Amino acid sequence: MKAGLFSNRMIRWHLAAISLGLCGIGILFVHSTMRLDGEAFPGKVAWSQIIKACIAFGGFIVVSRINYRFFERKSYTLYGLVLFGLCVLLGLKFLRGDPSASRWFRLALFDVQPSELMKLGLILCLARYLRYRQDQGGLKGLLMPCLLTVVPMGLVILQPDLGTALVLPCILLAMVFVAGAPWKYVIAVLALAALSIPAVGIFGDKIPLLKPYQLSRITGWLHQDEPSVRLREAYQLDQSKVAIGSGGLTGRGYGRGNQNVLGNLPARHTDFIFSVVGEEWGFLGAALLILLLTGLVLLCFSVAMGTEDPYGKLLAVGIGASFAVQSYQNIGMTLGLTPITGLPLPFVSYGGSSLVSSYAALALVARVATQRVRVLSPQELEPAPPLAPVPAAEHRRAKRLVTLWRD
Amino acid sequence: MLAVILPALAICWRLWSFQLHPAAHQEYKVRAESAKLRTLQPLRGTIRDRRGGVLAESRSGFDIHFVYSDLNPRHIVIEVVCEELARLGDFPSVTEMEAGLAETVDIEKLVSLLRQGIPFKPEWVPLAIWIPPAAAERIRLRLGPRRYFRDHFELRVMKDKPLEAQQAHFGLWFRPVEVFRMELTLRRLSQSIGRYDTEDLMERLQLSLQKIEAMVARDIQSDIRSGADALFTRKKEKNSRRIFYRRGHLLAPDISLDSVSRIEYNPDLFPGIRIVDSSRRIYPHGEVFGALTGHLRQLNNRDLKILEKSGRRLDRYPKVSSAEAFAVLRQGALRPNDVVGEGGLEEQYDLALRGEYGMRLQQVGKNGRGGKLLASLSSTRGKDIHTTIDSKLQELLYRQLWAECAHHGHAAASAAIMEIPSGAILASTAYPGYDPNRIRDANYHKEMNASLGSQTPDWLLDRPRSKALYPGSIFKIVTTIAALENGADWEGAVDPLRKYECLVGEQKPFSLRCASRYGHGHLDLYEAFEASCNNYFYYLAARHLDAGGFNQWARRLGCGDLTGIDLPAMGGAYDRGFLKKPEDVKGEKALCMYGIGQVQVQMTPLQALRMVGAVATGLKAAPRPWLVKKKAPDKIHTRNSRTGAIIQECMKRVVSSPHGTVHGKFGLEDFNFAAKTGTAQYKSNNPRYHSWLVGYGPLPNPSIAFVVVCEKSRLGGGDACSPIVRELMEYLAGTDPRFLAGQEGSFSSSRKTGDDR
Repeated sequence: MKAGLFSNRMIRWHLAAISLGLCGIGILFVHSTMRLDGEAFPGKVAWSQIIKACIAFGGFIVVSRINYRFFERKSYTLYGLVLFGLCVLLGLKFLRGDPSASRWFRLALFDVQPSELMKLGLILCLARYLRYRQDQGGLKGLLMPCLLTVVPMGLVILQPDLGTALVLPCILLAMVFVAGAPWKYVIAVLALAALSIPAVGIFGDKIPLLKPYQLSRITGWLHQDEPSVRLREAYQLDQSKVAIGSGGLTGRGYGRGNQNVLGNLPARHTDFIFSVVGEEWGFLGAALLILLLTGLVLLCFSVAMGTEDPYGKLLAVGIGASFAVQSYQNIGMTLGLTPITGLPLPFVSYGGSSLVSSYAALALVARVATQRVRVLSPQELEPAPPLAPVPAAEHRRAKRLVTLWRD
Repeated sequence: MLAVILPALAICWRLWSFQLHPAAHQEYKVRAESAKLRTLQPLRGTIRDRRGGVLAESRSGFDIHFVYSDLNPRHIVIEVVCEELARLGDFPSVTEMEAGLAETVDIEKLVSLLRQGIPFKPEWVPLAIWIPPAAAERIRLRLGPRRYFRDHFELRVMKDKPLEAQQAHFGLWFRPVEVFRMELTLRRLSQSIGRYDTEDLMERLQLSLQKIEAMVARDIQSDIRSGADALFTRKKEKNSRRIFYRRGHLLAPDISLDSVSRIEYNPDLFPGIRIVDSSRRIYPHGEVFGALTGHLRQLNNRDLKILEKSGRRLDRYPKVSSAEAFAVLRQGALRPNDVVGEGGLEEQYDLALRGEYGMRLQQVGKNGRGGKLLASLSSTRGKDIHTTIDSKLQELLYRQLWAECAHHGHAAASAAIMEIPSGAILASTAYPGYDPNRIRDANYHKEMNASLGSQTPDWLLDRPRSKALYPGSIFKIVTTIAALENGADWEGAVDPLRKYECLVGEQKPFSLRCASRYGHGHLDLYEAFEASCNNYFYYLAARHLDAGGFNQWARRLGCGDLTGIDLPAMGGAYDRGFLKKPEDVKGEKALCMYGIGQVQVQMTPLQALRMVGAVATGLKAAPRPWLVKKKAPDKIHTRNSRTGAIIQECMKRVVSSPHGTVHGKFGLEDFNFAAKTGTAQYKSNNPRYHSWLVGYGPLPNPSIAFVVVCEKSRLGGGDACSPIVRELMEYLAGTDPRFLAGQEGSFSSSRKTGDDR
């Protein structure tokens, strides 16, 4: 591993700095989108986000101090608990007969969103399952990981929360690829996914799991340039493009975006916060945000490359993939590159559950980076030849080195 | 790594194409800036009669709007107080507290004292007591910045309680004069307007507030559906309500200029009240022209769907950046609150009358205000429609119809007059008619239904155009023409001088009888026509005609077909009448009934008018009635060149001959016109009839044709309709002396007796 600024020890500081930078931008723009007339920074809503960020960062510090082996041992338990939580949520929804979205447990002091936790739960579970297996080359070996993914995916779709449900298979794909699945399977799945979107646009009304508003989002995305569609299904996307496009190089100025101030852009504090950044800070601000997010993902993958422990590697890859999919999907939907799915931008969008789970995941990556685990190679397991007697001074020096290494 | 970097590059490329590409950036910038497009409503065109008199016009008026946050600022205070108290347990709701307010202060006493200039005592009244200090502090923090609260509310320590309680609790006091601002304002308003009393205004206010709540609920619907959390939804709901409370909403429409002056002279007495210009559609003649002009109605959901599909819904337009683009889009476009014509000329010429919207495209500043004018296009006033109607004639006819229905108890009556040979309609009216000024008032419908009852349930119908009735003996015109034209040559057709016998009682072989009590004796065609002898026409129908021949001539003369008048068709049998298919007319008896205009055929008054108009032209053409756009008549070809002359002679004798059914009725023989009466049974064994009188004049060159029909009358055609025709003839004679008998040379031939034939 590299020493100095890019050493494993420093990676956790890089991760913390990037996440705090993203959080800070998020708080600034949550204030810009949600403040009342004349309210100074930080307003009521911004304060709420600051408090959530502090709690989440506190969680990051705590979790990054815990040996990730603990989570490795508890992976299946955590997965099972979150799955149980999803089932209870769905059960409550059907018992109440409430057709509206039901994604949170509303507790006394805070709300918990199980689908956010499911992403982490799935990563932990898949990493545990795949860590030592060698059978990912065949379809048989991929059955169990698929099952572990499809079950929670179905439960999340029923909430309904299509966005989060689509992140889960992307995590699976990345982790099985790193675990050793052949290229052809990955390409086949990606091709199938690419073909499914226009198919949904044509036959979507026959798919029972898809709600009408979800279908209209896909058709709106497919025909986003048609004038009549721009006014109806693709209205939100159109307003997002107007917001971003009007930003230019340096933007219209903080708190001065027309689409933001006039309220033309729906959900601008959550799903479309990137559009507000693009409008008020222009290309430079948007590029900064993309750079930070890409840097975060690359750091996660570099942690994966730098560790020899298969569990740690899979964990870092899964978390990196989750961040990548969420970030690119969110930014892509504001630009019309992908359909609108309601995925928040990690660390930036308003909301506590997403922030807490993102920081928890990041903490695990940071721990993987700093907790050196030496994996013995087969040669090292062979009995070593007898050593020549070592003089006492040499022996004492070696002892000191071992002590240092153990730290 | 590629899998991470490539998507990032794709996104950057997309960003560049939006933000840094000059054309795209400019387009998005313009679209972001031109956010405020204000449309300018056009004024609707006027409908005029042939002399330019107004039948329907739009007049500017004034409406009263209210701004709730200015009219009743106490609602914010009550809401906050209730919210803070509700955190602590079982405290009253907003409604209960409002009700409590009303009980605390006697409004009548307050009003009367204010009117006398005497201050209301006590000046301060308690609203809520036993407010814990924490709640009181929060109320003070939240409402303290509001001047209204500071000036008219007070949180006081409860002095009459023990010291521990004093330190523990507060009371909220208020000044009635200011807190009851809304009630006082509405009272003053009702006195200024006069048309509405305070309860009416309060009811209207409550209805408007309910609509505001519905709009707020719609606003937050999408957020609830997409799973937004409760805190966000509550905040958005409050924000949305606050915005609506700051806007103006309609309280009382169409108030007089005097009321406006009174209100604007003392604006301080009417806080929260705004006067807004509006336009109204006025129909000066009311029910005289009711069904002819039609009326206006609001767009319904079906209309909005059609507009949206055709891209003509104005509030759903894409953003326009220039007046030229809007000029293309505005053609035929409407907003959801617009009105369109319903029935009559308002509907037929709605597109021309409506005009076109204008617009102002204004750059929007930070708070949605101000900005420079980027583009503008003035609205185009609707076109005026000039009709062929003579208002005086129409008015005269309506009054006569009304008088006759009131005097003789006819269920309804219609009349229409057409110019010959052009087909221009000079009058078309019916009793009962409806007043288009009041048609949208639900009370008006109740009044009309109560007064007309089951006698005339279809009082909204345009009777001359759409009410199909059995024609009775006026159909003998068709029978005569068909019989004269039958056969390949003259020998096959009926000989007008050939006589048939009409006996009293049942006549074999048809087993039908004539209406005459004593029988008409031996008659030829002229005599039978003038006396309207049924037996003669039974012979004609059964011996000289077949169903095909009837049907052919009936169609040529306008039966069973749309008249083509430029008014919206109602569909079904309403405008077409009814004409049985030849194959369905079986047996001699059916043919006989056909011959006298019973059972097999129904005609509307306009169809009858067309038929008479064809006779008036000498059977050269059947004129098409029209009101605005002229229509070409349908040419008629007769095999027999004398058919036209014969039927004209027949109709002349109805008036001039002493045996004619019109002769001697109300002195109609003093006038120079031709006519035919009809008395149609519409139900077996019913003593009431549809009584017709059709005709044309002056002779020999007629300029007008007319039709009058009285429905469900106790009198026959000659007796029921003659008074109306008498008034008509007197009016026409006043403008054209040729309508007076003896003013033309050829008229004397009608007075010849049978020896001269």
